Amino acid sequence: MKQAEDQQILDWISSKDQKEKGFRSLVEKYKEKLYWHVRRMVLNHDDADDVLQNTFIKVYKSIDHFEGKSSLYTWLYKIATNETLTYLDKNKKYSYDTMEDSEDHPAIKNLKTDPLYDGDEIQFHLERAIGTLPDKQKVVFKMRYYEETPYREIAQILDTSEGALKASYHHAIKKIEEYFKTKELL
Amino acid sequence: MEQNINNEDDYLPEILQKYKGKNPFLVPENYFQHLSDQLIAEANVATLIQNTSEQAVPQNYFESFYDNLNTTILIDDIKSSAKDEDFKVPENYFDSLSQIAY
Repeated sequence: MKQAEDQQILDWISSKDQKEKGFRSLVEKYKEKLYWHVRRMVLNHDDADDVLQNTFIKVYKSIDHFEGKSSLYTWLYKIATNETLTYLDKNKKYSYDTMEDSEDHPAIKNLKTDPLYDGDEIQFHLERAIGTLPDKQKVVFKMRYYEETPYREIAQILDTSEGALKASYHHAIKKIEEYFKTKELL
Repeated sequence: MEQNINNEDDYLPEILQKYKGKNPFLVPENYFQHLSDQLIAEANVATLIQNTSEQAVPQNYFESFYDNLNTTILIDDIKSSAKDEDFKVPENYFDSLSQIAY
Protein backbone atom coordinates (compact mmCIF):
# COMPACT_ATOMS: atom_id res chain seq x y z
CA MET A 1 0.00 0.00 0.00
CA LYS A 2 1.39 3.40 -0.95
CA GLN A 3 1.98 5.56 2.08
CA ALA A 4 0.32 8.93 2.26
CA GLU A 5 2.33 12.14 2.52
CA ASP A 6 2.41 13.74 5.97
CA GLN A 7 0.47 16.79 4.80
CA GLN A 8 -2.24 14.59 3.32
CA ILE A 9 -2.46 12.70 6.63
CA LEU A 10 -2.78 15.95 8.56
CA ASP A 11 -5.44 17.23 6.15
CA TRP A 12 -7.49 14.07 6.69
CA ILE A 13 -7.09 14.29 10.45
CA SER A 14 -8.23 17.90 10.55
CA SER A 15 -11.35 17.06 8.54
CA LYS A 16 -14.09 15.79 10.85
CA ASP A 17 -15.32 12.94 8.66
CA GLN A 18 -11.86 11.71 7.64
CA LYS A 19 -10.10 11.77 11.00
CA GLU A 20 -10.15 7.97 11.35
CA LYS A 21 -8.73 7.54 7.86
CA GLY A 22 -5.99 10.04 8.67
CA PHE A 23 -5.08 8.39 11.94
CA ARG A 24 -4.99 4.96 10.33
CA SER A 25 -2.65 6.27 7.63
CA LEU A 26 -0.43 7.81 10.28
CA VAL A 27 -0.27 4.52 12.20
CA GLU A 28 0.45 2.57 9.00
CA LYS A 29 3.26 4.92 8.05
CA TYR A 30 5.04 5.23 11.38
CA LYS A 31 4.25 2.11 13.44
CA GLU A 32 7.36 0.13 12.44
CA LYS A 33 9.80 3.02 12.64
CA LEU A 34 8.55 4.01 16.06
CA TYR A 35 8.44 0.41 17.25
CA TRP A 36 12.12 -0.10 16.46
CA HIS A 37 13.03 3.24 17.96
CA VAL A 38 11.35 2.18 21.22
CA ARG A 39 12.43 -1.47 21.12
CA ARG A 40 16.12 -0.62 20.87
CA MET A 41 15.76 1.35 24.08
CA VAL A 42 13.60 -0.98 26.17
CA LEU A 43 15.02 -4.21 24.66
CA ASN A 44 12.02 -6.40 25.43
CA HIS A 45 9.20 -6.83 22.89
CA ASP A 46 6.30 -6.65 25.38
CA ASP A 47 7.67 -3.47 26.92
CA ALA A 48 8.11 -1.97 23.46
CA ASP A 49 4.53 -2.91 22.60
CA ASP A 50 3.27 -1.14 25.76
CA VAL A 51 5.28 2.00 25.09
CA LEU A 52 4.16 2.06 21.47
CA GLN A 53 0.51 1.85 22.54
CA ASN A 54 0.99 4.70 25.01
CA THR A 55 2.69 6.69 22.28
CA PHE A 56 -0.15 6.32 19.79
CA ILE A 57 -2.79 6.97 22.47
CA LYS A 58 -1.02 10.24 23.24
CA VAL A 59 -0.75 11.03 19.52
CA TYR A 60 -4.46 10.34 18.98
CA LYS A 61 -5.48 12.53 21.89
CA SER A 62 -3.24 15.44 20.98
CA ILE A 63 -3.09 15.37 17.17
CA ASP A 64 -5.78 18.09 16.96
CA HIS A 65 -3.36 20.41 18.75
CA PHE A 66 -0.43 19.67 16.44
CA GLU A 67 0.62 23.11 15.25
CA GLY A 68 3.08 22.12 12.56
CA LYS A 69 5.98 23.91 14.25
CA SER A 70 8.06 20.80 13.58
CA SER A 71 7.58 18.05 11.03
CA LEU A 72 5.09 15.32 11.84
CA TYR A 73 8.00 12.85 11.95
CA THR A 74 9.88 14.91 14.56
CA TRP A 75 6.73 15.40 16.64
CA LEU A 76 6.00 11.65 16.66
CA TYR A 77 9.58 10.72 17.53
CA LYS A 78 9.55 13.29 20.32
CA ILE A 79 6.42 11.72 21.84
CA ALA A 80 7.81 8.19 21.43
CA THR A 81 11.15 9.20 22.98
CA ASN A 82 9.47 10.92 25.93
CA GLU A 83 7.20 7.93 26.48
CA THR A 84 10.23 5.62 26.37
CA LEU A 85 12.23 7.72 28.83
CA THR A 86 9.23 7.97 31.17
CA TYR A 87 8.77 4.22 30.96
CA LEU A 88 12.43 3.55 31.69
CA ASP A 89 12.31 5.96 34.59
CA LYS A 90 9.20 4.32 36.04
CA ASN A 91 10.62 0.85 35.58
CA LYS A 92 14.04 1.46 37.03
CA LYS A 93 14.94 -2.09 36.13
CA TYR A 94 16.81 -0.83 33.06
CA SER A 95 19.13 1.65 34.68
CA TYR A 96 22.22 0.95 36.63
CA ASP A 97 25.20 3.00 37.62
CA THR A 98 28.19 0.82 36.99
CA MET A 99 29.29 -1.86 34.61
CA GLU A 100 29.39 -4.31 37.51
CA ASP A 101 25.71 -3.63 38.23
CA SER A 102 24.87 -4.25 34.59
CA GLU A 103 26.29 -7.76 34.73
CA ASP A 104 23.32 -9.10 36.67
CA HIS A 105 20.70 -6.72 35.45
CA PRO A 106 17.43 -8.51 34.57
CA ALA A 107 16.87 -6.58 31.34
CA ILE A 108 20.26 -7.67 30.06
CA LYS A 109 20.23 -11.14 31.60
CA ASN A 110 16.81 -11.86 30.08
CA LEU A 111 18.16 -11.15 26.60
CA LYS A 112 20.04 -14.43 26.66
CA THR A 113 16.85 -16.43 27.06
CA ASP A 114 14.58 -14.10 25.09
CA PRO A 115 13.35 -15.99 21.99
CA LEU A 116 12.93 -12.62 20.27
CA TYR A 117 16.62 -11.76 20.61
CA ASP A 118 19.09 -13.13 18.10
CA GLY A 119 22.29 -11.35 19.04
CA ASP A 120 25.68 -13.03 19.32
CA GLU A 121 28.10 -12.67 22.25
CA ILE A 122 29.51 -9.35 21.02
CA GLN A 123 26.04 -7.86 20.53
CA PHE A 124 25.12 -9.05 24.00
CA HIS A 125 28.14 -7.26 25.45
CA LEU A 126 27.33 -4.21 23.37
CA GLU A 127 23.88 -4.02 25.01
CA ARG A 128 25.54 -4.39 28.39
CA ALA A 129 27.88 -1.53 27.65
CA ILE A 130 25.07 0.67 26.29
CA GLY A 131 23.14 -0.12 29.46
CA THR A 132 25.71 1.75 31.49
CA LEU A 133 25.08 5.01 29.60
CA PRO A 134 22.68 7.66 30.93
CA ASP A 135 19.25 7.31 29.29
CA LYS A 136 19.53 10.38 27.03
CA GLN A 137 23.01 9.40 25.88
CA LYS A 138 21.59 5.96 25.17
CA VAL A 139 18.97 7.55 22.90
CA VAL A 140 21.63 9.52 21.04
CA PHE A 141 23.88 6.51 20.63
CA LYS A 142 21.11 4.20 19.44
CA MET A 143 19.67 6.73 16.99
CA ARG A 144 23.09 7.28 15.42
CA TYR A 145 24.54 3.81 15.64
CA TYR A 146 21.50 1.72 14.70
CA GLU A 147 19.21 4.10 12.84
CA GLU A 148 21.81 6.52 11.41
CA THR A 149 19.44 9.38 12.17
CA PRO A 150 21.01 12.71 11.12
CA TYR A 151 22.16 14.89 14.02
CA ARG A 152 19.85 17.66 12.79
CA GLU A 153 16.82 15.43 13.37
CA ILE A 154 18.02 14.11 16.74
CA ALA A 155 18.62 17.71 17.81
CA GLN A 156 15.00 18.58 17.02
CA ILE A 157 13.67 15.50 18.78
CA LEU A 158 15.73 16.01 21.95
CA ASP A 159 15.65 19.81 21.89
CA THR A 160 19.40 20.14 22.01
CA SER A 161 22.25 21.36 19.79
CA GLU A 162 23.95 19.26 17.14
CA GLY A 163 27.31 20.03 18.75
CA ALA A 164 26.19 18.66 22.11
CA LEU A 165 24.88 15.53 20.40
CA LYS A 166 28.14 14.90 18.53
CA ALA A 167 30.05 15.21 21.78
CA SER A 168 27.57 12.93 23.54
CA TYR A 169 27.89 10.27 20.82
CA HIS A 170 31.65 10.52 20.94
CA HIS A 171 31.68 10.08 24.74
CA ALA A 172 29.28 7.13 24.45
CA ILE A 173 31.65 5.39 22.04
CA LYS A 174 34.60 6.01 24.35
CA LYS A 175 32.69 4.47 27.28
CA ILE A 176 31.67 1.46 25.19
CA GLU A 177 35.22 1.05 23.95
CA GLU A 178 36.43 1.14 27.55
CA TYR A 179 33.93 -1.59 28.44
CA PHE A 180 35.15 -3.80 25.60
CA LYS A 181 38.76 -3.24 26.67
CA THR A 182 38.05 -4.27 30.27
CA LYS A 183 36.34 -7.40 28.94
CA GLU A 184 39.32 -7.97 26.64
CA LEU A 185 37.03 -8.08 23.65
CA LEU A 186 38.99 -5.54 21.61
CA MET B 1 38.74 16.35 17.77
CA GLU B 2 36.26 18.30 15.64
CA GLN B 3 37.55 16.44 12.59
CA ASN B 4 37.12 13.13 14.39
CA ILE B 5 33.59 14.01 15.40
CA ASN B 6 32.68 14.93 11.83
CA ASN B 7 34.00 11.58 10.57
CA GLU B 8 32.62 9.54 13.41
CA ASP B 9 33.08 6.15 11.79
CA ASP B 10 36.85 6.80 11.80
CA TYR B 11 37.02 6.67 15.56
CA LEU B 12 34.51 3.84 15.89
CA PRO B 13 36.44 0.75 17.06
CA GLU B 14 36.60 -1.95 14.43
CA ILE B 15 34.30 -4.22 16.37
CA LEU B 16 31.62 -1.51 16.56
CA GLN B 17 32.01 -0.76 12.86
CA LYS B 18 31.27 -4.40 12.15
CA TYR B 19 27.98 -4.35 14.06
CA LYS B 20 26.81 -0.87 13.14
CA GLY B 21 23.17 -0.82 12.08
CA LYS B 22 22.72 -4.56 12.71
CA ASN B 23 19.50 -5.39 14.49
CA PRO B 24 19.55 -8.44 16.79
CA PHE B 25 15.90 -8.06 17.82
CA LEU B 26 12.99 -10.04 16.40
CA VAL B 27 9.23 -9.60 16.60
CA PRO B 28 6.50 -12.25 16.90
CA GLU B 29 5.22 -13.61 13.59
CA ASN B 30 2.75 -11.27 11.82
CA TYR B 31 3.15 -8.72 14.61
CA PHE B 32 3.19 -5.70 12.29
CA GLN B 33 0.28 -7.03 10.23
CA HIS B 34 -2.14 -6.70 13.16
CA LEU B 35 -0.46 -3.77 14.86
CA SER B 36 -2.46 -0.99 13.18
CA ASP B 37 -5.82 -2.43 14.22
CA GLN B 38 -4.54 -3.02 17.74
CA LEU B 39 -3.13 0.51 18.10
CA ILE B 40 -6.25 2.16 16.69
CA ALA B 41 -8.51 0.10 18.96
CA GLU B 42 -6.39 1.01 22.00
CA ALA B 43 -6.48 4.69 21.11
CA ASN B 44 -10.27 4.59 20.67
CA VAL B 45 -10.78 2.78 23.98
CA ALA B 46 -8.49 5.21 25.83
CA THR B 47 -10.39 8.16 24.37
CA LEU B 48 -13.71 6.58 25.27
CA ILE B 49 -12.58 5.97 28.86
CA GLN B 50 -11.34 9.55 29.12
CA ASN B 51 -14.63 10.93 27.78
CA THR B 52 -16.67 8.69 30.05
CA SER B 53 -14.75 9.66 33.17
CA GLU B 54 -14.91 13.33 32.20
CA GLN B 55 -18.69 13.09 31.85
CA ALA B 56 -19.29 10.98 34.94
CA VAL B 57 -20.12 13.96 37.16
CA PRO B 58 -21.11 17.52 36.26
CA GLN B 59 -18.47 20.21 36.41
CA ASN B 60 -17.60 21.28 40.01
CA TYR B 61 -19.89 18.56 41.33
CA PHE B 62 -17.61 17.55 44.19
CA GLU B 63 -16.56 21.12 45.04
CA SER B 64 -20.16 22.14 45.73
CA PHE B 65 -21.30 18.77 47.04
CA TYR B 66 -21.31 19.70 50.77
CA ASP B 67 -23.25 22.94 50.24
CA ASN B 68 -25.75 21.22 47.97
CA LEU B 69 -26.26 18.43 50.50
CA ASN B 70 -26.90 20.88 53.35
CA THR B 71 -29.36 22.81 51.23
CA THR B 72 -31.21 19.63 50.32
CA ILE B 73 -31.44 18.56 53.98
CA LEU B 74 -32.69 22.00 54.99
CA ILE B 75 -35.35 22.03 52.28
CA ASP B 76 -36.43 18.55 53.28
CA ASP B 77 -36.74 19.61 56.95
CA ILE B 78 -38.81 22.64 56.03
CA LYS B 79 -41.12 20.54 53.86
CA SER B 80 -41.61 17.96 56.61
CA SER B 81 -42.40 20.48 59.31
CA ALA B 82 -44.71 22.40 56.99
CA LYS B 83 -46.55 19.17 56.19
CA ASP B 84 -47.03 18.37 59.92
CA GLU B 85 -48.35 21.83 60.67
CA ASP B 86 -50.61 22.15 57.64
CA PHE B 87 -52.44 18.90 58.14
CA LYS B 88 -52.98 18.79 61.88
CA VAL B 89 -56.51 17.71 62.87
CA PRO B 90 -58.38 18.59 66.08
CA GLU B 91 -57.83 16.31 69.05
CA ASN B 92 -60.00 13.12 68.93
CA TYR B 93 -61.25 14.15 65.48
CA PHE B 94 -61.10 10.68 64.01
CA ASP B 95 -62.72 9.10 67.09
CA SER B 96 -65.74 11.27 66.72
CA LEU B 97 -65.80 11.28 62.93
CA SER B 98 -68.10 8.26 62.50
CA GLN B 99 -70.63 9.66 64.98
CA ILE B 100 -70.79 12.98 63.12
CA ALA B 101 -71.39 11.17 59.82
CA TYR B 102 -74.45 9.41 61.20
